[in-house]
Amino acid sequence: MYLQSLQKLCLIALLLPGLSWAGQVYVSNEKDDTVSVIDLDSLEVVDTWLVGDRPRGIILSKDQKYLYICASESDTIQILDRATGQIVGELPSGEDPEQFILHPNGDWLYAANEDDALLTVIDIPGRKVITQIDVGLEPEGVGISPDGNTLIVTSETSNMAHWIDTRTNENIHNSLVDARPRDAKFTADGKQLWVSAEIGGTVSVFDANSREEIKKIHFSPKGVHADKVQPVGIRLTENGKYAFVALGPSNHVAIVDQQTLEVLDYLLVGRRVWQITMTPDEKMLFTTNGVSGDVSVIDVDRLKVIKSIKVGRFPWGVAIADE
Amino acid sequence: MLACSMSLLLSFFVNANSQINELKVGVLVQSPEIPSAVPDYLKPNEGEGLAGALQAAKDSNRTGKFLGLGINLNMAQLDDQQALISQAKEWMADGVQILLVDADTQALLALRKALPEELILINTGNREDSLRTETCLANTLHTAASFSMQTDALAQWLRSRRLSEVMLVKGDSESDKKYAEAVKASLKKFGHKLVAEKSWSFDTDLRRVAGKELQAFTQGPEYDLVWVADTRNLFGQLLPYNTFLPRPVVGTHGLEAGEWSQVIEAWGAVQMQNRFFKDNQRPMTARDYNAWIAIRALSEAMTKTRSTQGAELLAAMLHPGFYIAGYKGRKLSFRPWSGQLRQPVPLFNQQALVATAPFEGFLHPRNEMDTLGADRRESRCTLASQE
Repeated sequence: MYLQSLQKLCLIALLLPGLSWAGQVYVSNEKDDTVSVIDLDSLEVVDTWLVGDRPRGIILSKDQKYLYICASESDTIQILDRATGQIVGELPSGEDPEQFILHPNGDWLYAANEDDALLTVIDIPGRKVITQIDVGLEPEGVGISPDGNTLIVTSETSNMAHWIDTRTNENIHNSLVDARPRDAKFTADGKQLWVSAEIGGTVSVFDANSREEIKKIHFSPKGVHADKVQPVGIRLTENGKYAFVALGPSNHVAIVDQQTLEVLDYLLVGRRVWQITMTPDEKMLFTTNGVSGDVSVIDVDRLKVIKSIKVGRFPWGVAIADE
Repeated sequence: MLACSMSLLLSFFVNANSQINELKVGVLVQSPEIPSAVPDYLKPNEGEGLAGALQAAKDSNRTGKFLGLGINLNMAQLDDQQALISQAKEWMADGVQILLVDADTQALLALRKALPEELILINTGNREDSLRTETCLANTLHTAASFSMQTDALAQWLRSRRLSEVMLVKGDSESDKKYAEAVKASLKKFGHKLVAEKSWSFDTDLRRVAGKELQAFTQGPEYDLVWVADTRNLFGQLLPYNTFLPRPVVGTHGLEAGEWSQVIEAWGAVQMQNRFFKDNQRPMTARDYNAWIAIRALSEAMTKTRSTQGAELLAAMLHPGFYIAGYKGRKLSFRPWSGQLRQPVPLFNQQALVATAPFEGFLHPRNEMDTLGADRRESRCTLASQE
């Protein structure tokens, strides 16, 4: 009797995936104007939600109730209720928002406006723009230090990482990196900043205090022409062990030792891999593969690709909720 | 203490920004001679090339302001060779060190001869191969792709599609002849067969009778495709769908090969296309792109050297480690022997990007992009000594 009702419950949960509170992976599909919902247990697409035009950056709210989605061509950031899959509001984003990041306080959002060479600072509870900061051409990747005091925005055509003090919203430093910087990430201890350069083919690691470059990491997966090695998304494990770097059209993800800054291995994933996100327990890594239209799942303990999941056209961003 | 060091840093950057070290660049465009028989919709846009340079200066100065570097443009479009020379001299007297030139071969040679060698030229429009192989110009770079880069790109595509028997149809202008020579060399280089060669020199109004006339004209032996050499748009646009055998048309019309087209959207290009359209109310053309990439290369060299000295910038651009990002998905660089910009060559029609050369399988010991156009051993030029 008990078993039966449990089965029924499971059935209901399967039929109403939007209501299930198991862990879920959300993938924005740039050319389909949708978000694919993947169940973290079954690793299958359980739902597809229609969102604004050209969805790219996608992140979770601090309480994990909402998804914020950069609908680039709708010139807005949409707020989506995870429980219902419905758009419940919008945030003013400036024109053509591409990537963004949440301040650790959960209230401030920093969005790069690619077409306007601006960084927009948004107050989420008030749903208003706090300020816009002048940055280099085609701002793209945004990263924030764990203490929330330092924000980094990379500009793709100016080849710079701009350092911004979030307490004053002033640009305090500019570091030149290789061509077309795409992503910026601080290590969990806040001591290092990693910046990927897509056309340069490198990742620059900076000392976050002195703002000096410590090392430039180069990549050479076997059998791939150097020009096709185009680093984009970076993920650093919180335990300080690994860094994962998506290498674009080389169709590989590099595994880097966070301590020695040496490349350990390369994993073959889908075609043109751009963004990567890890589950909060750091056991699984999801990559978006734009050209093959799928997501590769990597088992972090075994460092193996365990599955690829078909999603929409041109998957771009990925966010993961563990409950 | 913290606040103090912060304000020091801030003032440092304010200082750096307020003193902009400027590089003066001239942009010279020779007004193209357009026969009246060319339909209006195929005539070049007003200010083509100049608009690209302007866009790049805007783009570059946004980066430059963080470094205290800037590019200052002087621009002119003139008809006459003599007027081009005197304009260049006037600018030089005013401190211009770099000159972008889009002109025919005669005018380009005359300019190089009339101006001192320390003035660096960047050719943004002339495709003639001899300027990269025989007539080597001092301190001159080329961002315009040569005819042979265009024809090699198409010849590689023919290989990838297993098409090899070619009927060549050429116009009678000087540049049509130069283009046709490049076609023949590419056919040989990539093992294709020229089965027929025809010259179009008629001056009838084709508009109502294109089907009849061109079908009759393209009769001959069996062919896989028609390759058209009509650099002036006098008849080539009427060839696709009007060939005697229903075969593809490639070359100056049909499937084209060039540096740029509005159909290119990948590799982040859509951002620049949008930026350009917003400012100019028209799409960016290849001549705009060639000027754009020339200024971007200068800007990149300025960032690398923190210098605004022409000679230092030229050396930096020819340095083996130098590269620029040009929305083409690969690093672009200059061939040290001829000063030619190495670049992927997109193949496109009016509505879509079809493919991008170099194609997989065409290998090169140094750089696959050097399978397009004159390689080192095919050129007598030695612009830079180091590789």
